[in-house]
Amino acid sequence: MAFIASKGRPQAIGPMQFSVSAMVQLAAIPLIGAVGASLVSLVPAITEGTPAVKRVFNAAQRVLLVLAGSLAYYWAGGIALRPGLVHVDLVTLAFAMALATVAAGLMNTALLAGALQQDSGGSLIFNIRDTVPRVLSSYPTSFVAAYILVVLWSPARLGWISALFFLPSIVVIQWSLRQLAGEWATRHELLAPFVTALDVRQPGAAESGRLAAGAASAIAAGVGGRPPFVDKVAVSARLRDVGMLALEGKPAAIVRRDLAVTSASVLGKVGFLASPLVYVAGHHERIDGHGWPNGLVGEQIPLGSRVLAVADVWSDAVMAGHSAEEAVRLCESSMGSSLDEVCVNALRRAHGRGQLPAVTDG
Amino acid sequence: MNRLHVPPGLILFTLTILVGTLAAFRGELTESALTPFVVIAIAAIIIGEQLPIRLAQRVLTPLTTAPALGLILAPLMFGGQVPSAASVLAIIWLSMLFGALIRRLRGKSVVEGSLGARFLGMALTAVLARNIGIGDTTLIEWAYEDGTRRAVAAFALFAVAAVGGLFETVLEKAVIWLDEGGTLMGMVTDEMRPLAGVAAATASAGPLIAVAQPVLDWVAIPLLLLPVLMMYLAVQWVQDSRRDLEESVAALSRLPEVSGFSRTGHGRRVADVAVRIANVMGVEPEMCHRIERTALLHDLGHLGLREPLPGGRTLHASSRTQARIAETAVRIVGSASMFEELLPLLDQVRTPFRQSRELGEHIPLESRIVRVANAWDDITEGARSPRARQVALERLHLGLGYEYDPDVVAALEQVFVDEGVLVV
Repeated sequence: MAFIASKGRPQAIGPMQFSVSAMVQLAAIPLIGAVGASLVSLVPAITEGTPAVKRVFNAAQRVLLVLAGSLAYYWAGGIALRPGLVHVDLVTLAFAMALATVAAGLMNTALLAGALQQDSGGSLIFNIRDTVPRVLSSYPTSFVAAYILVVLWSPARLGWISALFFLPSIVVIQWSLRQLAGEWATRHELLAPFVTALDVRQPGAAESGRLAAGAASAIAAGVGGRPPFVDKVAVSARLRDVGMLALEGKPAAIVRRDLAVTSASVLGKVGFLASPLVYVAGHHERIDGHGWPNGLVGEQIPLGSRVLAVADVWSDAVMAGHSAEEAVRLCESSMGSSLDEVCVNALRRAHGRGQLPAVTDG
Repeated sequence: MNRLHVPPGLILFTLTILVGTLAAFRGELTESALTPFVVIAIAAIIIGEQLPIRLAQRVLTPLTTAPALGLILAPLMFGGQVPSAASVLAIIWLSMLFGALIRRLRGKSVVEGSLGARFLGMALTAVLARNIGIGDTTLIEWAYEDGTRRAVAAFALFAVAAVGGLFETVLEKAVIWLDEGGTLMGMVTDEMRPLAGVAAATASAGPLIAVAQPVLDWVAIPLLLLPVLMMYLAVQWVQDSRRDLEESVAALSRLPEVSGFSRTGHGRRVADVAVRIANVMGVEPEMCHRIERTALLHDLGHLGLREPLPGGRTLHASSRTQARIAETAVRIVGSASMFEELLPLLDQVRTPFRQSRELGEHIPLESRIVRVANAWDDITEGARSPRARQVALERLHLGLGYEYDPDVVAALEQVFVDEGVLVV
């Protein structure tokens, strides 16, 4: 099972990741003990085609996760499920396995944050804070699947045959996650032709979209946005000027007035762009109510639009030749009048952490 | 007078009603049947009926089938007695009917033939597992006896679940075949690819729920339905992805229009004509799909021009202009990898047919068809009068073998002959 699971790579879905290997390793803790589970965790290292040093590093990391999980499992009252065991308390088993999952997840977080710090030299606290949601989001699925496998294997007395019967489910889980990852990637890739089309008419639009999307993602995460929100704001940043395709050569006043509506008409009825387009529609509103098209004030403006407005001003300034720091200061000078204070502060923090994108030479 | 046509699905559903009603009458349903496991299974079946999957012309409800199979194959006791197949089927039938009723009340469609096939497949599994046995022992009794190895029992339970699933497939395919025709081989291949994973996961989840029931009781149902739920969601994601792709292609095809570089509706009209030509030429559905996308996106390259061409027509554009258009189209479309296979097709739309005849250059059929369809729309400018079409055909004939593939032009002519617009 470990071999089969290792064949499906962890599925990256935007900022989230899933791993079926983790499920097998977690299930191995109650079934074959800490040592056996450590050996199982080494299987992916045998099969992966990475350089030897990286394989050793990954293998060591997995063994540490399993050992942390095993410690938590036995500490929480979990027992080794030997063959022939008649009575198993399923609630205690679930609790112990849940703790094992959390311990493995925290160990993974600490190791990744440490590696990031070594690599980038940033703050360990910030690295941990950024890494926790990404790493831990993958573990609930692994925990549930591992628990099912353990229950079938031992208390339901199916033994190793449970792995065979659970195989379709593992394949299904792998396939499901791949589809989800694929859909996420497809949606993002589908934006590229629209951005390129705009770049053909207005050279530099693609680069401006990239800068705005990077800044918008950092700001959206900085104001506490969850991954789907961050994703939508990034999409809206890339597409914020696509309406210009239909407004080329029009006077500035008309562009300001019609850009949002035109963007929606240019993109037609593409369902997954509906909510990003709401953010685009409101990104020329001003906090003081003197914006357009509706003169909304403060929190009447959708948060996504407020984030996008800051990213828009920042990226335009950078594209105009200002440094990233000067562009941030420009945004700060508009704080409270046209731009939202919370979002500008998030921009400042993102700049401080080096999370804002840089202009490419091309 | 036409004979009254009764849809085969309705006949199957009527048969199902008879079987279900018989089960309801013969089953012994007392209060003792309402154990927590049965109640959760009923709830799961009702919810499962609300969440069908449409794949390869079939309607599947894995979230109904898995708990129903769990109910059929679990070691149940109603008032100290092992329930008969009729009792278990009565519960499943009433739950499915209730689920279907709720779905109808929600304004959603219920495919009766599919519902019937699903229930009859389960009925076969129930009869095999609970009514037929060796000597005095049914499969269910043998499977949960103390001396039986649970792994061997799981295989046997899986086997009867698979037999029921196969029967369901045969019934549903027979309904489709009687209704729409088609080849048996085509149906088998349709079935194999997209449905194999769904069927395997559903068929294995049922027996797993059943063997886990003595340990987990009702918790076995929600827990073991989770992978099936994930599969259900994944299928929805795939379908969403496809819809996103189609909607994006439609939006991209409109970019030259909204930017003033081509006539309103040009891309859509070219795509419609191209698909009709392709159908007359008998091309495979996959190629037909490529032709439609190539036609929809063929004018994107106009965005690379400084000024729009008069009327957006490429018909009289210089080869340099046409090359620029093709280059820009490839740049825009090539920025998304899922459109990679369209790049050579888009590039070749501008290539005159003589390049193939005189120089042996390979021009894909997709491009040749779109070239003719594009020229047709450029000449007619969207007009649908017989006179406009006649003139356009005459113009195309002038370029026959030189600009346009004669076979494609002949197919275009055939399109309008078939529609009664042209008389040969």
